[in-house]
Amino acid sequence: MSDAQVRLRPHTEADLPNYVTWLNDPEVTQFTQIESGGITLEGEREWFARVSAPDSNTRNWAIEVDGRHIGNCALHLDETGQVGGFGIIIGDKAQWCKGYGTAALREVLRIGFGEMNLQRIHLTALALNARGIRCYEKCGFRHEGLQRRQHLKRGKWCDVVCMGILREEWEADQCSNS
Amino acid sequence: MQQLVTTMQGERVLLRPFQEGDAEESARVWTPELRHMYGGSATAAGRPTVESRRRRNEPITASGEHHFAIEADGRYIGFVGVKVNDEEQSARYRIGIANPNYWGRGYGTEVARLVLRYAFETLGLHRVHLKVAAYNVRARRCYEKSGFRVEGVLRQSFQVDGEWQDDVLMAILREE
Repeated sequence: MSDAQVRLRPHTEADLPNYVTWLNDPEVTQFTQIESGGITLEGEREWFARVSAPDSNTRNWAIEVDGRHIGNCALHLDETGQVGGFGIIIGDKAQWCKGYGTAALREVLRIGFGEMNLQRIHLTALALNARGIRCYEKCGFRHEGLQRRQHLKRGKWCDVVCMGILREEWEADQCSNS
Repeated sequence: MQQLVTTMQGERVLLRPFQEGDAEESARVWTPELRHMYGGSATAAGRPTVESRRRRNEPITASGEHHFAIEADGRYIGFVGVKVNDEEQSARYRIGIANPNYWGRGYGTEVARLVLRYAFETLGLHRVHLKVAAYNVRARRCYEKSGFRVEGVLRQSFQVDGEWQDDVLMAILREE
């Protein structure tokens, strides 16, 4: 697998039916802080309008592999515009465990630090999301905290992991990788 | 969720609803150090007006946050609140003791004990959490004394007067 197969593009309204399918699939959302069920095209349209508004502080990308839409990722900027929160979902289950999430995240880090000039990118993940956490570690995120029993997932209290990467750390990674 | 209790009496503090005169007192005792404790500039000019304090109190009241004015020696000294997330059965804690004469004397700890009892016993929550600027050592010590535990440090989470600063995450669970 090479990173070249994976491409990010701004998401469009035409992507929304895929989101509805994916987010309503309990298998897709099992390790996320989103819960399946009740996600409608109407609701997604409202969400799309909100995040596409000129004053929105969110940037969303569709993840494509060889032209096929397999997931979505986003950066949510804080009020200063210098700190971004990352979120990702690979909705096409046939494309799991192929490193596409890692490739997409690397591209988001390049855009976030290299183009948007952010100082810090952070995320939270359910502690039981071992595959996701491994991906974030590979991309240079450091563990910053563990929020105990923070999230109620399908009737069970789950710990939530906080991770972050700073601009200097990302820049140092670029030097050592090249 | 409705606020179930409107007043709580501690040894030295009374927690009660906001009332006439609180905004005036809050603006009167304000110092730039207070802004700095919340991650704002320590040096910038400008101070809040009575009107801005009143505008701040109103949305807190309207937001569904469970909140109280803190009174000691018969005067308003600050506010405290828990913002409840019903789905998570948890809440975010925040407190502001505006009057500098009441800093460093255990008032915050006394308030936290009352509000945590309210959060766990009255509201039946299972977790109360907060975020505090890492350099706000006095507040962190107060939270630790009140039973909060450090859950993490968000590095370079925000900027103050041109310098990046860390945030500390703390929380207390019901059984603690």
